[in-house]
Amino acid sequence: MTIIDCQNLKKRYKRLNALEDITFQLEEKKITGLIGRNGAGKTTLLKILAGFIRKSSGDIQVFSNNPFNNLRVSANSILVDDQMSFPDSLTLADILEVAPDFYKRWDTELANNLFKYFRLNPKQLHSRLSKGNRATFNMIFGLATRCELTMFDEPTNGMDEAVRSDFYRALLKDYIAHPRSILISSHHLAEMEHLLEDILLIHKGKVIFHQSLEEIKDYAVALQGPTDVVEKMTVGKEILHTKQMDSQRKYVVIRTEDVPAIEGVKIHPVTASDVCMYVTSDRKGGIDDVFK
Amino acid sequence: MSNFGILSILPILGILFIIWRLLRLAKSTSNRINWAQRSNKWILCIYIVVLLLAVVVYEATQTNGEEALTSKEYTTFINKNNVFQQAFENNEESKLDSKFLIEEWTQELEGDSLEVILNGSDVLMNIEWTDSKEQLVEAKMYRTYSYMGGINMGKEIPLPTLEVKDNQIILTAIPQKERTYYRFTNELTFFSTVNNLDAREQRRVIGHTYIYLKVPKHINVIDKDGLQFY
Amino acid sequence: MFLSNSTLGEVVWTQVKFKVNAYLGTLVSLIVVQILGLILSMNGTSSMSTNFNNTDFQIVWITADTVIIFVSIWALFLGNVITTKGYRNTNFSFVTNGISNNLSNIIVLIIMSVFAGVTTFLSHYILRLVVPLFNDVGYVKSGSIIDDPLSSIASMGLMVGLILMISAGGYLWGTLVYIHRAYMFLLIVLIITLPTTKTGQMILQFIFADNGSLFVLNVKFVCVAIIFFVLAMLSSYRLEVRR
Repeated sequence: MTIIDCQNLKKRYKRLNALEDITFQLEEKKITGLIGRNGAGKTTLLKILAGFIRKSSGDIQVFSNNPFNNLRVSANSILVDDQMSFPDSLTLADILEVAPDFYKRWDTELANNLFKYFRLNPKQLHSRLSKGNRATFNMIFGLATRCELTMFDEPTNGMDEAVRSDFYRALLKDYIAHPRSILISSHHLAEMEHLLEDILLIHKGKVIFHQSLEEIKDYAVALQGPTDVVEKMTVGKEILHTKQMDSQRKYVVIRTEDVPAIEGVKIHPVTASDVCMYVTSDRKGGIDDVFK
Repeated sequence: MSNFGILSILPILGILFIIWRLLRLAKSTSNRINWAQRSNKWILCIYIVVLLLAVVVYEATQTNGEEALTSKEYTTFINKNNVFQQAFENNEESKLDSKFLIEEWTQELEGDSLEVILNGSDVLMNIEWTDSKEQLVEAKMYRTYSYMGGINMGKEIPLPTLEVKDNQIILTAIPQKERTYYRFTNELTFFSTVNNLDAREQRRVIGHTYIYLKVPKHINVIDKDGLQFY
Repeated sequence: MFLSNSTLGEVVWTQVKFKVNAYLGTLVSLIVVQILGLILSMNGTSSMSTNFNNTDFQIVWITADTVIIFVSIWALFLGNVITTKGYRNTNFSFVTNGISNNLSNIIVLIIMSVFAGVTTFLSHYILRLVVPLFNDVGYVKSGSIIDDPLSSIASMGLMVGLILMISAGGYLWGTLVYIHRAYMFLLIVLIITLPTTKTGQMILQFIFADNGSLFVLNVKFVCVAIIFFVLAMLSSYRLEVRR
């Protein structure tokens, strides 16, 4: 069943087109990574999906409803981001206590166990948590709601290395125990590749692709070898990325196809993370070219 | 009214500003102190209990204190006072309500003159001349209803003393005093239909002390203080 | 796929419970405001005096007027503050939508107004007990709840109505300012012109003066409050959160 159905979704702020043309569908019970560079429109898209902000045009259906101001969407989805806030009059323990009233499928046990594991202080106030702890608490909250559509916007911002890996592990375990649709936005794909099934790559407010992780890993191939040989091989092909290794050798990334094996040219696979980076790059060449 | 509007707004703006500062202060302090939710609940409970106790205690102990009156009673008081005043001015002794009567004397004068000394007391006096050839003078002291804001002033404030001696009537005012009474009301002054200024004026009855003399015609009344005789 | 279906009523009710609990602190600030008002009204709100038989006779009225002015200002801020960004974002961390958020805010304001009105009325009894301790003067037996229950309830109701109306005004104000900051100036201009111009005075007079009874006045208060709330709901329907 389709959870999210987006058709030509546009969002305009006063001077800026945050979302240009977003069309995709999200099937149920999948973990999807929402990948994009800074300012690609990830946060805007998630906020529209959560019903916090209005679309400008196009069509969006979450659980077959327009999410804005929709109670059904609100009851069955949660957006965890760093703007999540809770009243200063409630301690963390109080918040976990009132949450089951709102979310019918709230998992008290999971929440309490994670809360203890991450050693949060139950008497602390949300606004006074450190950035990392706040992100951890928000994550616990998001997981425990067991919402059919759970969205995380840059969930690991501020978390330290150990907490990040614990978070991904917890997310995966809970997902396996209770499959649901999870959408995680991030700009570092590499560290969460292992738990994603699909990737939705957006760039400048447009969907670049929406494919499974496997397909993306096979999307491109890198050739590395003597400059003249490599250039000859890649003539007329779609070059995603080039890098001059040294005066003789060059590194070129092209769309995957059958490349004849040529002496001196090595063929490397390209990681999904790199694919996403190259595809969304506006510049030919890299940062090295700036310093030439 | 226009000026009044502006003037009435200024103090409110002032209070607004002060409260705004207070709230800011409270917010910044509450950010530093972890004001636990439990203590909030306790404070509220204690406050409510204190309020209810205050009501109960007040209701149980309020028996002392003056009786407040209704505006209807005031109207009847005013009317009765007026009737009395009328009768007094018209020398109709028979119509003077006996319930206002406080004291009466008769005095046998020795000479042909009667002196009235006031000593600063605030009384109204009237003389009825009789045809009697005797030396007998009758004096009656009356006091009409005096109520303000529910207080019987006549009861609270002593009368001037009256002394009849030889051929003198000496009145002495009581020493100057101040009296303050507190009155509580559940009504709001600015919305009240009962408690606004007009209504309060209606709740004020100022009576007088009257002295009614019956004096034979041949007696000369000396009035140094320039009393007004009717 | 299991979708939980919450009705509007359920969500509003849950939000109300949550908010009343979360905003208890504002009630503590109400107590502070009331006590401040009580201290200031110890000298009396108005007095009348006369000279009678060589005695200066003065009666001082001690009423709840000062307290109600303070509490009204508190109500204005309360209505205003729960529309601010922080509070809105907080509410939207839990299940809600624009309508349920507005409805639960309104119900919370009503609950708090009732609380504020009743406690303001009762707080006057603290004065009745405390003032005699500090002043050695006479006291007039004053109308109390037992003597005159109807008028006591009427004036309690009037306080609730007044506080509700003012908090509704604060709520509308806060909502409009949230939509656009320019409304701030518009409202200040409106508040200044209302009592100073002829038409404004006529409107005020129609609502607040010339009332046959306190009950009619109270009904007018509640009507104004309803108008404020409806305007706030209409204007905030398309409002976004966590912008």
